[in-house]
Amino acid sequence: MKSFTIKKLYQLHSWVGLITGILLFIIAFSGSVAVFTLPELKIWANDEIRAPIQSNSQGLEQLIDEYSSKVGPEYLEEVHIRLPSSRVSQSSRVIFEGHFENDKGKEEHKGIVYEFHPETLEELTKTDMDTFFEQDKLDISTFLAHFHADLHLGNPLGLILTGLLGLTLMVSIVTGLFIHRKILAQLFTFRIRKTFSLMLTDGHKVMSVWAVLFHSTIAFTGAFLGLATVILVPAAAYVSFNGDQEKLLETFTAIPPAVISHVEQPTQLSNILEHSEKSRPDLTFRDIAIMGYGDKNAMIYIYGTGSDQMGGETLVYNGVTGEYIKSQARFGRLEGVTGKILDAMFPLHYGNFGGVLVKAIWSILGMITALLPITGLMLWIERGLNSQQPNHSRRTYQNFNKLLIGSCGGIVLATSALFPTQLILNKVMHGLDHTSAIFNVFFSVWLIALLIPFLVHYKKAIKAIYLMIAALLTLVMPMDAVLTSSHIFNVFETQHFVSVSVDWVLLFLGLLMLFSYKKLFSLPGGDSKDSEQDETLTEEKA
Amino acid sequence: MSIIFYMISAMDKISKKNTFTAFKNRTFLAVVLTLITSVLMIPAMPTYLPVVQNDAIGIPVLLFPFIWTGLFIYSYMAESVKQVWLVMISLNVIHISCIYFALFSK
Repeated sequence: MKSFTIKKLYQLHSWVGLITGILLFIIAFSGSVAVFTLPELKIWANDEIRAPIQSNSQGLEQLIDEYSSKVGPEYLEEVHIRLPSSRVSQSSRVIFEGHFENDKGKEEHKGIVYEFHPETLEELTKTDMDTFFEQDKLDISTFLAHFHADLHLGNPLGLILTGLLGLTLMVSIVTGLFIHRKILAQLFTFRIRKTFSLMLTDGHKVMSVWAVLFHSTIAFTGAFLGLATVILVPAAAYVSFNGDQEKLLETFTAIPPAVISHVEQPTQLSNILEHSEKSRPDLTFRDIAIMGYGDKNAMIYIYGTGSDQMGGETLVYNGVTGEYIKSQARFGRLEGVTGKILDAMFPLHYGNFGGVLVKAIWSILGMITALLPITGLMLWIERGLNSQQPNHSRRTYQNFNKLLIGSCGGIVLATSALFPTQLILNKVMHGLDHTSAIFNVFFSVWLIALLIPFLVHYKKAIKAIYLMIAALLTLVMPMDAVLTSSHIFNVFETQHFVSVSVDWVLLFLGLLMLFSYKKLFSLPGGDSKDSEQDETLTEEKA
Repeated sequence: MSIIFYMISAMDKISKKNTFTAFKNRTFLAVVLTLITSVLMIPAMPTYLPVVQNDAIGIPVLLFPFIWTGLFIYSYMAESVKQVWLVMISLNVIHISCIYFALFSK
């Protein structure tokens, strides 16, 4: 390839990295934590679901029966149940949904949402469907998942932003692959103890090349998931379905609409649930959809995860006879290849297809994706500072360095601060909505961390942020033991295996950071005294 | 936002030194026209793809990130900016025609 073409590609690679680097770190880092949001962090954050919850099919049937008579027949077209035993939400949720005609003659969905205590099935709240989904109550788990998905900027701005970041990551990968053509040689070159610049260059290349397949998968699935509802589905529906997006979604999703006969017959919910649990012990059942509850044509769809099928399986039953009909993937029931690819999209992005081990691998690889823009930006700063003819002033590079430390270190610090915050909120605001408190803590900590490098020397700022993160992570386990009395010594009694494991992982990470502190800051570029003097001299000259 | 504008103006300054010709033109093509073209191709491609209906709708949606990336890089890498304009406009005209005939030919 011509050297001029390589130069162009190199410049394109640098620009895309410069513009999107910090945001990409934020998204990738939050993603590597978000991998564990369901169910691990959800269970950790909610005392009510920390212990395993036994399936109670009889109780559930009685509950649906009782509330179906309360809501009236017009809301029985669709009944959506979030099973408490799956522990993916803090309460068991039931949505009674119907289709109504509005004043303009258009069809609209209306629903009533009940939340029940996951263990006792006692009613906690009743809201209409629109209000329920508008005022989403967040804990650390859902906060981090939403932050990764749309940076809490909402639909469409946040989704477009994250989708575009996926696209720009694809540009960086393609241009990067052309620039670093000697891939094999770069797989094993990592000169960690020479100069800071060499360490960054080798680190950037090694992390890019070894995990290129993962970066590409994340970029593609991220772009797709971010833009799907905002651009891709409306565009696809424009011609093929005359703009009717709902019809398009109905064609592609596993559950066809209810066909109501208006002939009443009881729905065999508990028998069907028991049969599915007995026949498919490999699946963890999460959601049930009853289409046409109490009707002669009722159909039941039970969705579960954990089998070999990527993206989970849906078991289909005749709601009246209880006859098992078939098992289908979410999109894989469709003819052609699209369904199979769509089924793999979510699991490939979140790594939730092979248990905790795959999630851990996904999280580590996600952290590597996050480190790529950081090393790239650090290289740009380092080269700019050492260049004989830099493109910008020395102060510009220094300020950008401070911004990088504050924003990227800040996001890690803010995430770490959420763990102790959640424990305190569970104690002092038990049963109340924690959303605004979590928002305030997260963004305040981030803002403070953003300012630290501009107030003290940047090396001191890095060390301070690093030590604060380590301290916060180390604190979680003792705090949890004191505030909830849940710890390793009574874990067989409380059965809090998941939450105690989360505590241990956080403790391990915190201690690892504390013990590696000295070693990390003794690497090239970490020797603070010389660099501090250098910078002071430069600032004086400026 | 101001950081991004600063970056773009800095990039413009650097590019003028040597690497890219018609930098602003290429940036417009890469940022604006690439998005328009790749989005337009999603509803239009099902009209001519010789596959089952689900794939005809799904494949363009799944190809979107690759089309966008290809056009974005092409906007900067092509030797002549006129060639990029020609390719983009041709793609747009062809796909708008496909959409028009699909919607109004019956």
